[in-house]
Formats: sequence, C-alpha cells, structure tokens
Amino acid sequence: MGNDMSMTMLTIFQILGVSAAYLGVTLGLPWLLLRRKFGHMRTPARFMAYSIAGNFYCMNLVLLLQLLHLSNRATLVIGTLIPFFAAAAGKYRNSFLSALERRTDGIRIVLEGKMGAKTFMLRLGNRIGKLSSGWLGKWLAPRWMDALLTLGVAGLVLYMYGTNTVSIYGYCTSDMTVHNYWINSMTDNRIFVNGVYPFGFHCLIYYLHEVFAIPVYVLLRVFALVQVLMIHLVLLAFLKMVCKSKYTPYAGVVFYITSNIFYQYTYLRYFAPLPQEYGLIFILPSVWFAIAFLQEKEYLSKHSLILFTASISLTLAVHFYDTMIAGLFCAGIAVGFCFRCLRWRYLKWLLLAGATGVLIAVLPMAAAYATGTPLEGSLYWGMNMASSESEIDTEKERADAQKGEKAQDTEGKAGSEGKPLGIMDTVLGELRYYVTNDSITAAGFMLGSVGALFVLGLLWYILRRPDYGAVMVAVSVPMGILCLLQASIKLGLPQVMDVSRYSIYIGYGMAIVWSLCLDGVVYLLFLERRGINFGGLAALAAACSAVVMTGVRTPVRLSACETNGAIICLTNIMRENRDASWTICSANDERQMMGESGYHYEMIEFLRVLEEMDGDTSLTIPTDVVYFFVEKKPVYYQDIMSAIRPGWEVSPADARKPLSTEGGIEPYIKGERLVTMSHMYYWAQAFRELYPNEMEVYYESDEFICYRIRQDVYNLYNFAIDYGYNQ
Amino acid sequence: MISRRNFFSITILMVTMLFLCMCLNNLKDSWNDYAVNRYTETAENYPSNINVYVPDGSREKDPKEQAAETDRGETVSDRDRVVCIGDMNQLSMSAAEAWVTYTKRDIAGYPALPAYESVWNEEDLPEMLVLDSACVDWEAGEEIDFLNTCLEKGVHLVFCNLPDVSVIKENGQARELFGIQKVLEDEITVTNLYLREGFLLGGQTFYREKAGSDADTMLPGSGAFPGERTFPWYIPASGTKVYMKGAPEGMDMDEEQCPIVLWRKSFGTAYVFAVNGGLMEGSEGIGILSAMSAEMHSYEIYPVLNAQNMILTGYPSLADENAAEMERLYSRSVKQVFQEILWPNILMALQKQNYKATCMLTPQYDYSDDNPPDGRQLEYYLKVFNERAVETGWSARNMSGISPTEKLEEDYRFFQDVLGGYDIASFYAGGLEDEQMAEALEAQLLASAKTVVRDYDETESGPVGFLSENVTAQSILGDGLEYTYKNDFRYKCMETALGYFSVSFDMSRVAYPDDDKSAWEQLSRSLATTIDTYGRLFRGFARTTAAECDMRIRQFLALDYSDSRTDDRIRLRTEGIDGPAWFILRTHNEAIREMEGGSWQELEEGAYLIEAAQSEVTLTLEPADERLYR
Repeated sequence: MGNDMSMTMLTIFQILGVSAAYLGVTLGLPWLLLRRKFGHMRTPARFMAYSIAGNFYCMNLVLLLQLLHLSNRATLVIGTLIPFFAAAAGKYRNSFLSALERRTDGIRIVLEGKMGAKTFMLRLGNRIGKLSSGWLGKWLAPRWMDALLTLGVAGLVLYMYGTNTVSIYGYCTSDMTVHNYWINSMTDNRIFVNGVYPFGFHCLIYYLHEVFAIPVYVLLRVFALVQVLMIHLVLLAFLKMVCKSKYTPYAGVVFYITSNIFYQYTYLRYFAPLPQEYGLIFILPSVWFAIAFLQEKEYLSKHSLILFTASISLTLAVHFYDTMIAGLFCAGIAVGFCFRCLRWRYLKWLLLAGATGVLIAVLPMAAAYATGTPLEGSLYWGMNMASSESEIDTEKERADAQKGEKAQDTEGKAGSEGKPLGIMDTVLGELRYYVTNDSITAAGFMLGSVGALFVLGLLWYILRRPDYGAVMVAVSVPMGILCLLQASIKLGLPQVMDVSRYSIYIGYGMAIVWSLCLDGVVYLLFLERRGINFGGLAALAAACSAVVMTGVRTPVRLSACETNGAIICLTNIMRENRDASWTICSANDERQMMGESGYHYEMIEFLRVLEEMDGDTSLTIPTDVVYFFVEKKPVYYQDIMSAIRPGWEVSPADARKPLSTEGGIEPYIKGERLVTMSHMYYWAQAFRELYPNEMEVYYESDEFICYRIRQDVYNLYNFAIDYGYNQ
Repeated sequence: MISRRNFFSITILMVTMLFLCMCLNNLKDSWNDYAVNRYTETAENYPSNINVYVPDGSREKDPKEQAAETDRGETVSDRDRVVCIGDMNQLSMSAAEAWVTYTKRDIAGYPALPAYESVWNEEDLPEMLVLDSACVDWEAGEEIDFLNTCLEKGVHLVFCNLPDVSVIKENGQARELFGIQKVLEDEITVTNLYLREGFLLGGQTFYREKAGSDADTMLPGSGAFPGERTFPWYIPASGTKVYMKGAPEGMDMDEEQCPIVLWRKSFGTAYVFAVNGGLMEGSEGIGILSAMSAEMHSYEIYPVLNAQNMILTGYPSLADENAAEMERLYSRSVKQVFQEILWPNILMALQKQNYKATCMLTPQYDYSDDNPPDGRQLEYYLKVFNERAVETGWSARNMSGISPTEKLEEDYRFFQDVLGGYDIASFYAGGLEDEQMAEALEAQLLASAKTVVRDYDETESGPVGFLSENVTAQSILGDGLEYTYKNDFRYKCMETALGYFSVSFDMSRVAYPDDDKSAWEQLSRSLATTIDTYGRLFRGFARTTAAECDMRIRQFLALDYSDSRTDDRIRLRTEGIDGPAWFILRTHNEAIREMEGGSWQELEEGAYLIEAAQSEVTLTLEPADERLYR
C-alpha cells in the first residue's frame, strides 16, 4: 500500500498545523492589529507584547462566551474579528464605505469578470513577494546573526523535546485525561464542569479545537512542543531585553536547554502541555513590563503598565503557581528598583496594575464560585500544599521513587551525620537533590551564580548604572528566595507551593541568572564599546564548552499513559468511521480522547459483567463496529511522569488473579493494569476462537493489539462468553 | 444570383443528406443477416451430458504431490466430502445433493445417524454433515455425543430443520448443540423477516408484511414470504451468529429477543448451522449451503454460471388478435401495441441495466381465429432483434388450446413461408411435461434447439442441468411482473450459489389482459422495477441470453477445479473445459489485490466474481482495508 502515512509524519504535520494555528492567533493577529501601537518597542519586547495581547484576548473571549453559554465556532470567529472591525470603524469613521470599496477593489474587478482569478492571485502574490522581500531584507540585514542564533535555539528545543513528541504518541502524564475532559466539556459550554479552576490554558486549547477543528487529543499530544518552544523564546526575548550584549542571552538559554546538570524533574513536565508550564510564558513578560515601567521610559509606560496587568492576569488565569512566582519577581523588582519603587507615583500604578490583573483573572472564577460552583479538587490540593506537610511528603516520595537510590543515599548521609546542617548546607543539599543531577558542585555553582549576580548588581549600582544593576538584583533576589524555598521543609519555612515544583522555576530562572552574570562581566569589560558583542559571542562559546564539558543532555523518551498503538488506532478509527457508529472498549483514557466522535466501554466494566455471568447474561454493544484495545505489554500507568517501562507481559497467571474491585482508575494503574489486561487478552483470544472470521486484528505491535468486530446492529454479538478466567 | 461555387456546395450537401437518410438504412437492412440465428452457430461443438463432471470419491492425492504442496507451504482447500443424513428424496436433501454437484464435492448419504456412525472413520473425515433432524434420536444421548465428537474433530453440522420444540425444551444437550439459550414460545407467527448482510449476495434485506390499504399497489404480492412464518421462538445463546430472524407483530427488528430463523453456533473447532422455519425445503437450499460454506472457511471459491437472463415469453406475437379489447385500451391493434409501445419501453429498461433479452416468439396466441400472423412483422422483429443482439426463441404457449405439436407444425409452416426456415436455439416450454418437451424437441422447427427454458418447479432441486443428451434445461426463477418476497429470496439464493438469475415477463397478458392490472402502464412499471432492482443489485454478473446461458451451463457442469492457498496467494486450477470459467470468491476481511490468468470484479464486500481465462490462475489477496496511519 503506497498511500499510508507514518504516524511520525502525521505528528509532524499536526505539530506544524497546531503551531501555525497557535502562532497565528497569539502572534499573527495581534501583529496585524497592534503593529503600529507597539512599533516603538524593540523586537523581543514586541514579541512578548503580541503574545500577551493574543493570549489575553483569546482566553478572555472564550471565558466570556463560555459564561454566556454562547461559545461555538461562529461566535469565536466573530469575537476574534471584533477588534479588527472596531479598529477599522475607528480609522475610517467617516469614510468606512469608500475605504471598504477601495480595499476590495481587486475582488470587485475579479467578480465582475474584468480580471481572471489567476491573474489576480498572481498580482497579489507578486505584490506580497515584493513587499515581504523588501521589508524582510531590510529587517534582517542588521539582525541576521540574531535570527540564525534564534533559529538555532528553536532547533535545539525542537530536538530536545520534539524527539519525544514524534516518537511517543500518548499522553506523557495522567493529568492530561482530566484536562481533556474539561476541554471536551467546554464544547457544551460547561466550563467549570468539575469545579472552579484557572481555565486560561483550557480556554486556549478549546479555542484552537473549536476554531480550527483540531481534535482535542491531537492538541494535547503535540501542543507541549509548541508550548515549550514559546517558553524558551519568551525566555530569550526577556534576556534580549535585559542584557547589554546581543549574544549573552543565548549562552544561558543554550546551557539551560542542553546541559546535563539539571535533574530531569526540572524539565520533565515540559513534555506535557500542562497549565503550570504554559503559565511560564507569561511570567517573564510581566517581569519585563514592570521593569520597563520603572525604567522611566515615558513612551513605554502606558503600554508597559497595560501589558504588565495583562501578564499578571494571564499567570493567574493559567495557574496560580505562576502568579506566585511572578509575585516573587515583583518583590525582587521592588528591591532592585527600590529607589523608584518606593516613590508613590510608581508604586500606586504598579499596585493598581497588579491588583487589576489579579482581579481580571479572579472575577470569572469568583463569580462562578459565588453562584454555587465548588472549587475544583486540585485547587484544594494546591492550597493544602501551603498548609500540610503530609502532601509534600507524598510528593517527595514520588520524586524519591523517580530518583531511586540517589534519594536514599542523600537521606542516608544527612541522617547518619546526626547533627543539624547549616542553612547554606541545607539549601545546597536540597538544590542538589531537587535541581541538579546529584551534583553538589552544580548546586554550589547555581547558588554561587545567584550570589554573584546579586554582587554584580550592587557593583553596577556603584558604577552608576542603576537600571542595569536593579535588573540584576531584581532577578537574583527572587532566585535566592526560590533556593531558600526549595529547602523550606528542612528549614521549617512556610510553604507556598508543592515543594517539587520549585525546581522547575529554579531551572528556568538559572538561565536568566547565568546570562545576566555573563552579561554583567562582559559589560564590565567592554562597557558600551563595540567589543561587547564579541564578548557576548565569547560568553556563548564558553557556555557551549561548559555544556560539552559537563555533559550534553540526551533527549528523553518518556513512558506514556497510552501505547503508541492505541493512539495510531484511535486516529485511524476516528478517520475511518462516521461519528457515533463505533465503540472502543479499553482502559479509561480513550474515553476523553475520542470526545463525542464515538462511544467508549470501560474495560473493567466489561470484564466485571463476564465475571458474574450466567447462562442468561447478555453483553452487547449496539454500534456498527466495536474495537477492543488490549495491551500485551501493559503500560506502567502512574500519576508522575517517568521513563519507566516495565518488562511485564500479559499471562495466564495474571489472568487467574481476581480483577480489582476498586473504582476509578485503580484497575488500570501499576500492577492492577497487568491483571486487567491479562483478563482482556484471554477473553479476546477465546472470542476469536469462536468468531475467527469476524473478530479481526485491526492493528498489532509488540506491545499492543486492537481487535475489530463489525456488527450487524440488528443481530448484535453477545460478548459474554466463558473465556476460562471468568472466576 | 447564386454563384457556381455555392451551387456546387449546396448540391454536395444535398447529396450527402440524401445518402445519410436513405442509403444508410438500406445498407444496414441489406447487411442485416436476420434470417440466421447467431446463437446456433456452434451448437454442435458444445459439451454434452457425457461431459458432466461427476466426483468419483477418489480425491485422494498422490502422496508425493501432497508432500510437494506441504513443502511449498500451501494450504489446500478441504473442499471434499459432504455426508447427508436423511431421506435423499426430501427436498432439503435434494437441494444438498444439487449443491454438492454444482460445487464439485463428493457426497455420501445415510438414512440415519447410527448408519453413518457405524462407518465413521477419523482418518477420513467429511467436510460437513447435512442432517435432517428427524434422523437423529434426540433421546439417545449417544447420538448427540457422536455429533459433539464430529464437532471436536472439525466436522461442521448443517441441520436443514430442527427437532420438535418439545425436544429442544426438554433436552439441554440439544439446546447446547444448537446454541439455543431458551425457548420463549412454542409457536410464533412473524410478520417481518430480516436477512443479514454478507450471508447471501444481495445485501441486507427486510421482508415486511404489507400494511395499509395501498400496500397491494405499492408492493404487489408481498404476502408470499420465504419459508414458513410460524415456528418456535428461540433465543440464541452466546457464541452464536444470527443470519436471519423474524419479528412478530408489534416487535421491532432491532430488539434482542426476536425469534431466530437461521443461525450458527460456534464450538471453536467447527460450527453448527441451524435452520428454523423450512427455508431449506426447496432449491433455495443450495444458496443457503453456499453461504454457510463461505462462513465455515477463511475463504471460499466455487464455480458459478455467471448468467443473468431476461425472458420475454410470448413476445412478439405477429397476428392481429383481440382487436376490440386492444382498440378499447390502446386505440391500436396488438401488432402496433407490441411494436410501438412495448418494444421501446422494454428496450429502454433493458438497456439501462445492460441486459440482453431472449424473446420467446409466438406467431399468434390464438390459432382458432382467422387472423394469420404477419410475415413482414416477423422480418421486422428479426431485423431489430439481430441489431440489438436479442435472441429469438420460440414459445410453446398458446391461447386456443391446441397441442404443442400442432402449434409447432403451424409455426414451422409460417417460418418456412416467410424465411424459408429459421434455426431456433432456445424454446420456452412453460409448464409442459417432460414427455411433451421431449416430443416437441423432435419437431422440425426445434431441430436446432439446444436449451429449454421452463417455469420454476419448487420440487426441482437445481435450476439448471441436462434435459437430454444434448439439450440443457434452465429454470425461470420467477415472474418478473409479480414481486414476491419468496421470489426475492430465491433470486438471492441462486445468485449466491450459481450467479444465476432468470426471470420471465409474460407478454401475452398485454394482448389478453385479465383485469386492469394487466394494462401495460401497470405491467411496464413492474417490468422496469424488476429489471432496475436486480440489475443494480447484481450488476457484476454477465448479462446473457438463453442460448448463451446454455453454453455456460454446459461449461459449468463439465468443469472440475481445485484450489490452494500459500500465504496471501490463492492458486486455482480448472479442468475439463476449454473456455473461460467463472467463480465466486468469498473472503472475510480480505480483498483481491491482483490476479494472473484472468480478471475479477467486486460484487459486494467480501464477494468477488472471478473469470478464469486460463486453466491456472493466481489471486493475490490483501487486507480489505489498510490503516492510513501506521
């Protein structure tokens, strides 16, 4: 068959499609509308500004329409176009019709038959080509090195994180199924289906799903890559704005992406499109626009303040952990820019903007809560993190499970000495444990970098570059606090979030710390002289050398919650069948992935019917086609991200074990999944013996098999058979 | 003034027009060799009765050949022996016998199960047992045990009927054997029947009892259901697959508890097929057995006729008859009605589905009146038929009650007078007895006849065969002007078993209408509906005339074949014939990718018509549907 396509190739196309849709909505459309308003900003700032504007509008549009129960493709598209109409109405207040006539002149000529469509398209193409080549050439001429390096950074991100996306098709974290469910519910305008939750991320995914007709499960599979790319580009853009040298920003970013010194939990969550990580995109813009406001650049002030407000709002709309970090950075800014911040004329605006941002994000949730919608369970979990140590211990145990012996060693050493450690040793120990790859040197280097940055900041105050020094202090202070918080359990400090999550922010912030340190040194050496950029390049080269010396990280291949085969089958099934004509009998995840396209039969329910069957038991599934997803080598389903791949296989011995009597996903996690799948596998074998021509193998790989049975809906098959392990 | 150049041009134009209008028709007429029947030319070379393939029970292969096949990894089809248990004179057993003959299998018959058990040999297992349930002692557990042993050894069981409901009710072993979970009622009358897609060719079918005052107009004759409508109400157990079921009044067909009519129970090693409601009591049984056989195997390939006939009986008639009635109804004479109204209608309907017609001509219906047949009409029709590749046969029917012999003499004289003789290849015997047919075939007019088209006889086991040494018989399966469910079921059975379809349209009903329903506007609608419905449903099969069908019958009966499979390749070898042979290949979730030595076309999902142009053909299969994303 020459017309098939590998799933990897499809995934690449899906990534391209999703990227185009997302970047088009969050960067392209804001650029079209706001390019003149933000024209005075530098390119990295504009990049952040467009991203904030696009995300802010998109999320709040969805939120508004959802709360009004009006959300669908038409209203979303109209809502997206409203700012354009408004802008056009404002611009052409008295000459709207004539402007419209002028703008649509070409189309009129084609419609009247005075010009052929091909000629029109050719002319249009030539015009765009001339415009773009002229503009692009002019824009690129002084920036070609930057463009190349940015592409290089993007390439590194795609390689480091995309390898997993194009080879592991399933969700890399069990949370995804829940997010999938929430997003699916938004199709019915039930935004807070499981309770009040920061829905910014879901609003955006829902928007892409509804407007571009991209299935939610596809978005949740591939959006992580788009998201992680944006996280790194925003990081780069921020650094470009705060660094003096053009190239020192790349040093920190490249080191962060490629260095092997980070413990994998600091970046593992990037492999899934999780709200907390999505919120990272908005933390640094909020920091930058606050800094920009305080740098007393009048022409920036108004827009900076608005964008600061929007950024703060977005962090809270997506995940409140991100707001906490943004708040921490704001505190750092207050320290760094204390010479301005303490002045009422700045402080009042910053407080007002911050409060407005928080209010914008909180209001819809508060309104929903006030009208009787309870808080979503994970919010309670998040809040408990701040008050309960037991939850933290649980999380730490999970982390220990991933770190294996290393964790035990660390605990062992600390315990064996028997005397209390100093603050510095505790912080270093915790950094080593949570952030580094079990290297006290790396931990020391990180903590030292933060200290060095603070010292450099003070030095630049002394050298009468207060704005520059303030930025360094503004970054080093929250980073220092984060390092302290990482050790908060040991130090007995109050908790503000789940302890394991600090490491993600510390890793991300380290890129800023290192870039600023290098930049501070390079700036010290060259000041405003031309050599500063060469110094920056030398710093980049040094960073690359350091990466090579300390070890380059190899791309991770995670263990997904679904087999590749299951995703391949689901994709084919949704393509081949008309809606609502098919059922998948599988473990739970496909239920949400398929959305409303088909039906799902819970595997454990299926097996429980067989367990209790007698002569009169009838088990029928009333759709044209029924698919059975069976894992021959069941996945190791757990609630933490990992690369664990157990070597187990279904066996008669496991089929002889009783089925789990627990509810929820208990029958599908860890060892219970092996038992459940073993039962299902031997049922399928027995059924196929009875129906050799009817029960066909739809897809098979080493780890997964999908059976298909096509039914006559007037004569359904009775799936209740004695398969030898009914018990 | 007209110029010379223009004058010349106009003249050339006029001459061209004159040539096109006048000469072409004259040339066509003069080249039309209508007096010679194109379907009789090679009659003497046809295989005769002595060429019929008869399995001799010696299918055992040469051990060396078998070893070579095993070495090649071939799986040779186990199409071998069918054992019938029951009275071979019964209709169901006759149908089984005919099916065995058509599919070139061996057959063995035993009056009762113990008789077969006594000769049971595990080394020489049959493919299936076809049983009359009355020949099994259900009280004796040993006989059921023996049937279970057969199943364990991989021998399929086909029950043409079921034991009495009391036996099923009381005997758990029997219920287990038939895959009956419980007996809901001893007797139930169904108003609807449902036939599952993929069993018989022709797709999913509902036979619903007519309802409403206009039902008779909308669906004339729909009351004639296949099989019986009253039978015990059984509920199937797990491991079964239901092919046909009914629904009593007030019950929807999609309800799970519907009474089952035709189903199978799987035992892992073999199947038990059960028929409730007398469906196997007739030649329909051969279609049901073919479908069952296709279900038994991963693939099934068997020979078919591949012939679809449309027989117009009593058309045309060449004399002016029943003038008053014709004048009243159509304001025309019968000759004009046939020529100006019927023929364009018929031709259009046939052409739409690419059917060929066989017109069973009768010079006149009534030999007692003074209206002689018109010789010019004969010439006209023969010319038109010759142009359209319509076969002209002869119909034995008449309205005046004269014997076939007398009619033959009269008609012979008429043909001699008009054409100086005409070779007729096929004749429509209607309801003539065998002796009358034999006598008719002796007549001079039918000296060249090689096939007899006769009405369907429910007691006949097979629709095609040899009538005498050189003359074949082919049955008309139904009246194309009357739709009944029974006929529809029969057509599907015959298409499944033989790729054979033959319906008649009695045109004498137009000349001598019984009632208002016989008016042409009514009949033409029925005719068009039949042609269109079955033309679409069985578009893959070849359209033939009676004489062409005769040729295929001879080839079909003379054919022997064998097939084997290696991975995805099926090798099919044919013997005993020179020309092409046709087969139906039925698969499960597989499709033909390519073929060497012939051609193929898809009839419907999982069913393919194979034309074997050479004595050995190879088919390569592939999964019926591939995943786009891998």
